[in-house]
Amino acid sequence: MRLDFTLNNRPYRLEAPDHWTVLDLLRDGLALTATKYGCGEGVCGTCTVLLDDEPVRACLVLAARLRGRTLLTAEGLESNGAPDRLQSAFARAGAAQCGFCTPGMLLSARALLAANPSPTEHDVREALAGNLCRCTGYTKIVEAVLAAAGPR
Amino acid sequence: MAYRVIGGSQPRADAWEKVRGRPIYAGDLAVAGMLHARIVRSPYASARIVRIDTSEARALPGVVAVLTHPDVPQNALRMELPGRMAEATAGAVLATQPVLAEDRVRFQGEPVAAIAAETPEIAAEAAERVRVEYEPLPGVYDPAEALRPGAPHVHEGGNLLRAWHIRKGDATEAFARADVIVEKTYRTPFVDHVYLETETGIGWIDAEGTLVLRVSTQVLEHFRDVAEVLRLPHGRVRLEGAYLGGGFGGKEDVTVECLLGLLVWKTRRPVQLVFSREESFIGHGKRHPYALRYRSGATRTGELVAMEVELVSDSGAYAALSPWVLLYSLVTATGPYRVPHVTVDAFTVYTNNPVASAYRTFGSIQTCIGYEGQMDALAAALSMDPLELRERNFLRKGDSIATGQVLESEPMLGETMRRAWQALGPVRPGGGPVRVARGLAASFTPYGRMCWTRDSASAWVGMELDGTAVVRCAAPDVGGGQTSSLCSITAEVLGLPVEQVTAVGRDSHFTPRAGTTTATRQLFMSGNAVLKAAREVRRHLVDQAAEMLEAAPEDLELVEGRALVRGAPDRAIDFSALVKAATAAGRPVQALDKYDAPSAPTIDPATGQGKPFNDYTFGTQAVEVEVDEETGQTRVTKLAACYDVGQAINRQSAEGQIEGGAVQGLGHALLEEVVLEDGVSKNPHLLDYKIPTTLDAPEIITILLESGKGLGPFGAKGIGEPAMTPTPAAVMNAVSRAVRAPLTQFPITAERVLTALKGTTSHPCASTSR
Amino acid sequence: MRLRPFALVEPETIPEAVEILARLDGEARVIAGGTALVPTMRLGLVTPDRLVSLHRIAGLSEVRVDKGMLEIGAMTSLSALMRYGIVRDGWPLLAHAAARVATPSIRSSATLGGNLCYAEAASDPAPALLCLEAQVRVADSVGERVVPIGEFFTGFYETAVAAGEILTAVRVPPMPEGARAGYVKFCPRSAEDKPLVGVAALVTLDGAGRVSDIRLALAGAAPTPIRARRAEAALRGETLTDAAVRAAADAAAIEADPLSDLMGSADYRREMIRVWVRRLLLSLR
Repeated sequence: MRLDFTLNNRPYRLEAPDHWTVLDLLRDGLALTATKYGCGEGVCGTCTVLLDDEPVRACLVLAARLRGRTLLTAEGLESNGAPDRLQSAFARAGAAQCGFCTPGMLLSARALLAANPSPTEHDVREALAGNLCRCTGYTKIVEAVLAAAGPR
Repeated sequence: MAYRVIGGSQPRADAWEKVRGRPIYAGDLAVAGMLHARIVRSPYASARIVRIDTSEARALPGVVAVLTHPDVPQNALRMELPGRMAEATAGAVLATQPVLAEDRVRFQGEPVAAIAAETPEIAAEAAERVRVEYEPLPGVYDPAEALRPGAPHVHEGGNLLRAWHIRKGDATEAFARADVIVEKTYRTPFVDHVYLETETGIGWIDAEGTLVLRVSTQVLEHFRDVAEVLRLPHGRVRLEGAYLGGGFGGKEDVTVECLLGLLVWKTRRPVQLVFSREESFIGHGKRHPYALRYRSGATRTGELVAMEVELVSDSGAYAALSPWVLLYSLVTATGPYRVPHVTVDAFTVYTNNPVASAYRTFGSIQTCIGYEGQMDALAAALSMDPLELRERNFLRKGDSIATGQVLESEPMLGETMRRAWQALGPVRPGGGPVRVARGLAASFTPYGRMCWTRDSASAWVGMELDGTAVVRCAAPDVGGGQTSSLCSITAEVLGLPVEQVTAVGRDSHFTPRAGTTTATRQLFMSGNAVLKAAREVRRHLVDQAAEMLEAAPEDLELVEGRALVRGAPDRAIDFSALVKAATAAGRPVQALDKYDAPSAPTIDPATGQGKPFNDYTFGTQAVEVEVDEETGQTRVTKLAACYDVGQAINRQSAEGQIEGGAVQGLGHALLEEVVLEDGVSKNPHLLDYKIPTTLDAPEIITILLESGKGLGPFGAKGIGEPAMTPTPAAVMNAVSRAVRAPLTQFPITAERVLTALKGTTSHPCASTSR
Repeated sequence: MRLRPFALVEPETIPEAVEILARLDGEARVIAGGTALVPTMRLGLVTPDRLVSLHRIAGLSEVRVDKGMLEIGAMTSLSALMRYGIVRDGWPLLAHAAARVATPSIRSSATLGGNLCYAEAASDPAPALLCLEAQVRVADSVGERVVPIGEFFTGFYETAVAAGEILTAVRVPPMPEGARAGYVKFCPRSAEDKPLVGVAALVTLDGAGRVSDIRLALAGAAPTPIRARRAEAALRGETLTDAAVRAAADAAAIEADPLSDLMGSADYRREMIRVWVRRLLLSLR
């Protein structure tokens, strides 16, 4: 099937098999590997991307659903090679250990801050509860998101 | 001790690549013409293979290879410690584990066939068309059952894989003199690592005809395993270490390496192998379930007089690292306490359950549950404050552990305990049905390998003409900052900003071998190797600068990429000029060095006496829990951890290890269990195997003590595994307090807590499904 | 991990969708948000040859109030549903229950229609809709029929939607005047989970503080989401005293027929129904 959509602020036109998910399209169709396969069940969150600014599980959404819509992956966060506020906050706070959950975390956090620019710690934990991390214990991830949000 | 780089809290170099989502993991590289692999696995835990028919699968268009055991040149995974050459103990019954099963399968998930096809879809379809005829056989699923006469044998020679013993003093006699004796059995389940990145690798044959595998692995020395399986010279196989998306010991044994190597070698094409999450649950080694039977005796004033411990671990269907995990349990069985009379009998047993092998703490987390549960139980029996009881018995410098090894530096246990406990702050009252309680666990965990393995690591440090430094060291990075630490050490020694030190790859061919990233050994071993090499380079730079600045070497300092005369900063030369001059003069500006860990003979097989490890990390965790007395639901609301880390190399990293280890431990305590029914997993999915989320993780306070007495660079100790050791025990102790009844079975689910609260078997809730 | 290949059909009308489902070649399934279907496909539990996606059908994602009735298109995502002011203001019980499903990245894709058709006993929106006495519109080849929600869940993962039919909308009558409502989701494992039990309640008190209308619905109490009829009967006409609430909670526990599974035993579920029915009702006093 033919798909026209916007990805990381650029227009794309692709052919993709019917049974591909957004994750297949990103990793195998476009070699954009920041979005990860972690479980295929929609539980771990490493495949989180923003579709029309809403967080979705790329491993569950069929590629067909991209038609005419806007997709943002972790590769699209930086501009001209410069990391964005959240990315910098994560790096500075030590919020990435193995880093495998990091792209999904960043996108969920971005969606949170867009809807709620001054979240409480609980708000942050709730928004990120669908992004599992096995390395950090979440402490520095939460600190990083609060730091990126700035003073309340 | 004030350092320029060491002990600071700077972002790791790899952090920037990770936040940008760069393709640094094994699955992020695709090669043109790459085939996709799929493994066919046994659905049975115990069965004879009657027949394997691959004809239908091979006939499918797009299938390039369907391999079974006759296709494997040497169908045996080596049973040596990963990365080691010397094998120092005899007497273990080590059955060979095949790469692809031959006439029997012994655990659910045992690989039977390996497929390579043009697309993942074709590979999946081919897997469904491999027809395997199984004849289910009686199996054994409980270690106690497996030890009984008449139990089905998992392998020839019986089900007892290995036993270790400690005999110190005369425990039987000492118990007679004890004023109080507490006896309990604790039970822990199979637990999964659940690293977010499943087992992944890609392989190809390079221009020299070398088999190259880029793998998510903790052990680059697995190139030897692959070479042996394929009957290739060891130099014909190269392992490139991608950054791991988590390891925790689950990627210590061979996972994809041999299967992938086999497929690449047979097809002569690049091949990618990625385990699905379900396959990861079923296909890799777990944490050993333990039955820990403890008997502890003390005087009425709270001095421990004797401990008798029986440990039985379930090795699952193959040996993997079970004998060594058991050894760690043996050594740590009595805890960080002075116990004059000790009897420990430890057994690891074959069953048809999943293979159990390495998992963070490597047998130390289970014993901590035992010894710390006992301390709280003794305190209750003595009506003594649990902290005071521990204080009375903590090991001090000059004391010996149960194996007779004398501690040469102060463990600081009392301080770790007091500070962790105090960090919980003022006691909060409960309210309504919610009870608030606190508990703690002190612990000790070895770092570095067993002494008789004669562990070593090598590293190369060198200067470039632009005055920057390069580190070459094949230390796999599991996300614990392994690579970053090597840069920090080099930067500190050479007086360079850390951004001007680059670590170049991790590779079994091109970078000096540093051994496994396991056993909390990497900072100790590769860190010391890098330290040696960097110091040698420093000497060369200083000697060159001394000549050029006409000063004595001892009057020179290396600061911010310049060599200068102390007190006369205008007499200076920058590194670039220095290195160019040295090179022109034929003076070396690089060094390859090897660090050898101190070694000692094996412990006595009958008494366990000897020096098993070079050093230990001591620490305490204290937790506050809320228990809903009507539902049994338990939340950990606060966790405080205090450790002597010797010297933090990067403070942020050390904290991160403790925070992560504690939450992983929390999962073990409250949530995690591989649920098996006759060896078959009922929950190989994240929907049913829950790990902690942001909402489950508590506020965590970390307190780092720095004795400087570690054996690692700058007096550092290891923290990776010790970070997790005490958490389940601390949670158990807190919940037991809240419930006013001992909980001894893990995970401590809400249903188990409610059963304990209700106390009687007549309550409708007392019958539980697990 | 790739899904097993299938043909994707994206009809633009309901009749077109129904017609495709009626074809006899191979197995066709409806896909809405995919959050329940795709994981089961990935595990090989269902193997459709054709997926009929509803996302192009106009009007299926609309939410509006029509003569006081809330009309929710079946393809409305749970996150969209939560965001509508008319839903939050007029049917807060439903908005609250929808907000409790899984996590933000699931709610953005998961649809109300898909949630109902999956028919898990442990659904969050289902008890809320049972309390609200909603109705479900089902389209077939001849037209459309309305199924009361109380008749919608017919068995363990089974609904009144027959093969070849499509759930098109959920209609929710206005909440009774002055009603108090609440939904509690109990997750004893990790905080992000399906409910072990879920309790929704909608209570109207008369001038004397007696219960004039009560609807109590449970998730995880039976093979399907259910109304706790005996508990309701125990409270009708009563004031919400501790004793009355306790009696209702006991009745709900006795009436329940829960399953044992990896999350918990039947006995434990039963006890949790007792506890959480009591706690929710007390909170509505």
